[in-house]
Amino acid sequence: MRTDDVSDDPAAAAADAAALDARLVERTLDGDPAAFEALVTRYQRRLFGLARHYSKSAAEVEDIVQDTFLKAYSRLATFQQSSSFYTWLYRIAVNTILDGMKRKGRSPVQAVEDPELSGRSGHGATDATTERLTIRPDARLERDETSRITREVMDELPDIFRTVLVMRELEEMTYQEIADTLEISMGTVESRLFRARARFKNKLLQLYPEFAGASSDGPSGA
Amino acid sequence: MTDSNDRPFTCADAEPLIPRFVDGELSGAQGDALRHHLMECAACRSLVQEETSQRQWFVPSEEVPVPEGFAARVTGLAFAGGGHELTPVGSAPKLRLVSGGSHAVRFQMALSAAAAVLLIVTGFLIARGHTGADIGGGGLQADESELERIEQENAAEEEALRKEAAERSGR
Repeated sequence: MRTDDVSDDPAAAAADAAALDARLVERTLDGDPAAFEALVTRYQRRLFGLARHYSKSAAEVEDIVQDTFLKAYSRLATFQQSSSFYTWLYRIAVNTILDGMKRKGRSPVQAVEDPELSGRSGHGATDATTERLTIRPDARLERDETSRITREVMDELPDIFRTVLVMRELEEMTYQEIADTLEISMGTVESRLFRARARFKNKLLQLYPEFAGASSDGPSGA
Repeated sequence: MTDSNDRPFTCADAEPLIPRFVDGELSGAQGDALRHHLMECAACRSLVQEETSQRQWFVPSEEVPVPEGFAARVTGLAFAGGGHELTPVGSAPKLRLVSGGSHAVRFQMALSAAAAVLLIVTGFLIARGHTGADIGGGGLQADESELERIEQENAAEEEALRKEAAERSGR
């Protein structure tokens, strides 16, 4: 996961960040508003970055982040420090986002056909035909345009897949961090990512067939 | 290259490991085996290339600016909320009772209903010319005594009429 703390030694920086978070949590629980404001300041930018992957509306993004911090505040006494504060906060944010989607009629669970049960081979004929296609952004595409297309494709994906793609590809979280946040196994993270990428590729080629590159023959048993 | 059981490492072994390899999540013996295989297998190198290409779609977009004073505002809401949880609608926050909220809401609703009934009864009694002193049971008692008074007046009037009729017939 990306961190804001700059240090030559990442492990030491993470330990320092965890210690600071722990102090701020403790002071907040003692009723110190400045400590809570410091926690919000430390993580607000990253939560805004996360929320904007799920909503185009600036007001809605702000609502998601605000709701996340307020939920975190009301549950602060339950923070066990077994995970990092940001992992704990991130989990609240993801649940807030998914709950919001559910309220709007998008069900993150019902939107998929038992992804963990259907296995890797079950992603359908269309996926099979696109599996060997290279889909790289056209070099002439501006960065913003690439980002816009990616977002458009992501919006079409079931939330359960979009979530892991955001975590892995945009938030640069490790499999372990994703597993901890979503409270699923590493194997589930891996299979969900695999299927999410297949869906992404499939949807991208549906919407933008021009991005299909040269196909390859795939492995031949070397 | 062979695996720990001295079985040859094939493309079938390599393919499922490629996403993890590209994600930097593959280490140890499996990572070594795949790296050796890739040096020999152009087809699997091509798969690695495809995986890498797809990841190029995920570019970090521009940062979303955090609104001015956001942290202070959220802190204010959090500390003003006490045991309650606050949920914003649009940019304007509103209070939503969550912790123990259902009891408070039920009590508030019962209180409102009682006030509404009281208001209707008061209005009804005022319309009939009663004051607040007659509200409730007092009002009903007042109605009964009024009825008794009228009945007594009627009885007295009937008695007077009977006497008058008897006097006339006596004449």
